[in-house]
Amino acid sequence: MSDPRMRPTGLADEEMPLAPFGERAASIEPGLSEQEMVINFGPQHPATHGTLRLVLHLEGERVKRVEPEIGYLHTGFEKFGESRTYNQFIVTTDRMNYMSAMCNNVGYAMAIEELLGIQVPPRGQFIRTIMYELSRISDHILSVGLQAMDLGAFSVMLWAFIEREKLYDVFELASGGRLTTSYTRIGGLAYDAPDDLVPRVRSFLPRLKTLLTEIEGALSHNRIFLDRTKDVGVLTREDAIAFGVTGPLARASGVDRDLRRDRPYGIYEELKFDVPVHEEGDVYARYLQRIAEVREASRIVEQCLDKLPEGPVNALDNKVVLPDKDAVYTRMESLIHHFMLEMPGHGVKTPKGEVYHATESPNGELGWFVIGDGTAVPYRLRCRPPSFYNYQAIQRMIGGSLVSDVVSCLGSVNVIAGELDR
Amino acid sequence: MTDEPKARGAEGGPMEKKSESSAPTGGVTPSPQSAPAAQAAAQPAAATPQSTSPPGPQSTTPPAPPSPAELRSEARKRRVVREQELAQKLVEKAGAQGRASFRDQETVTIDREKAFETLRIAKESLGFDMLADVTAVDYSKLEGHPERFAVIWNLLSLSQECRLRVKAYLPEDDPTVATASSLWAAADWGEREVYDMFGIEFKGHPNMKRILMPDDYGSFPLRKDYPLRGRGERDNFTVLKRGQKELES
Repeated sequence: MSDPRMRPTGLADEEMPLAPFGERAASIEPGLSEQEMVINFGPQHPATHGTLRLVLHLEGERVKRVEPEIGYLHTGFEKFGESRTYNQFIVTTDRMNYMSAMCNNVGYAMAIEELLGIQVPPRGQFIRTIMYELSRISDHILSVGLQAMDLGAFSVMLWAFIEREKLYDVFELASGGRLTTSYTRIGGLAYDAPDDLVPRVRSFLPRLKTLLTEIEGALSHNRIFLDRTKDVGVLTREDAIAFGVTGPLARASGVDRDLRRDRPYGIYEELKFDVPVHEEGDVYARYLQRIAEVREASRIVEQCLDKLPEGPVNALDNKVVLPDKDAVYTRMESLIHHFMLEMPGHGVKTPKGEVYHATESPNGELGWFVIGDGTAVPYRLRCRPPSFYNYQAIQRMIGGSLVSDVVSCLGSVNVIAGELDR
Repeated sequence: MTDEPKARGAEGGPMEKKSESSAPTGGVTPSPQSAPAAQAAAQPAAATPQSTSPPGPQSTTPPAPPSPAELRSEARKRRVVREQELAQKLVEKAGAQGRASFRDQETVTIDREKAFETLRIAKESLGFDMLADVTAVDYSKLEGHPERFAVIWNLLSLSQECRLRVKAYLPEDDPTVATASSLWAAADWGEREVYDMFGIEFKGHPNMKRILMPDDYGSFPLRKDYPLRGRGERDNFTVLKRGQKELES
């Protein structure tokens, strides 16, 4: 091990003669003062929510400096994308964000549709939006639950998990998958929503209201929770902008920006919703922010259910959109189209151009920068992961705080390691 | 949400022909010719010669052609005009090489020597307060690009809700460019990732080392000459071979 901080600990005194602490510290890292101690937080730690590693420089219990080390989950998704067709890559987008796979599916498909210049019919858009917002709900309630669990409130996590199961049932109903949904296709959806989707979602929404009331009852005025979250991990508005922080984190710091309102895509222009903003920028504000966003998301879902139109879900473009699976098995033309889209060397003919398209994912701005080169395989596929830029700001959030606040802060950032490292 | 929530400039009128300017398959033409302002202005203004003038007198004449552009809202059209104006301003102020537009998205191409200065102008006088992303592209297998690498800064103005991409080409033998980490803190990790994946070095960066790959990795995975599989997979680990009892140390 070349890294002195990774030195094995727990050696007996005889194996490692005890030097005065100042010398020992200096032997670990030159320039380390007598009071300073370096500890590893992660990569294997129950409160890191993934393989994250923070190197904390402590003075007593106070964190003087923090160095986040990332890359433990790096899987080369962007490189992988350059060898797969546009539709094949959808499966990978699930794995990028396993907390809200639907959001990644939809965001990616929208970026490619922007490149191709095709429009998804209204029904497809509405179903996508329903799934997107349900996914946001699932992400936020679980994130709040885990945040509470990190601080010792175990029940909230279990309540959140129960409701997330209901949401996963909805996803399963629509896409066949629970965690990794792969529901979208370029130009539409893999399948139309089944008839009982609408009643299922409608019956879920009251449960969600109850859950939010319960969570708020347990946490919002809880003395312990308040002590652990108020004025902890503060991120100022200026820092949030400088670090490129987006999403609920930025809005909890007073950055009034939501792509759904400010740069509407899909059908968000037709929907009515508010963008909650909190000014404090601490962990408690992020908790309130997520709860408020869940309320707005459920409003959006309700509107979409009311307005859900009939009609096709896929764009009518046989050169781009995969035909219905039923039709592939029964119709000659569809079989040919399917064949032409799936054969190596054939497939979608993309225009030559560069496109960046971003959607407001539960963690912030999820952007896709795609370069089409005329073939069915992207020349370059860059994912702008919200977690990457959000997590960078953690240096600012936990510098100077106590060790126990690191846990509280990490939970509130809601880092998705798969997306962070890609 | 049809009303514009954020501050907007004096524009708001001249969107009548905007949809046509973007509808044809534009393709990103880096246009490395060096006649700066005049030709750069000609490209987007071809469809809307009045786009740089003050608000047009009549603004409610929607175009007839049935294209996806029709479905776009007025707010979106106004935003596109705003973005084009900002891109044009940046081209003029920073003396950029050229400007390309594809699907209503603006890309300004600059010399790499002017990168920092251009980004500073974009931040300080054009109001691009957020750096949404830094990334790079290896163009070695794509025709029509002057150099092998390009670094792309994806700028974002929160107050005006405008995006702009700034692109600088870097030669293969010397892939270096000035860092933007003193302008936006976000550039710190973004540039480290670009270095990690492409080997592009950002001069003046406080901590220019790998971020995702191990420190001793040795090559740059997102370069086009790096194979998808095979190289570097198990180099770091000693592997037990068939029939072998113990690992050689």
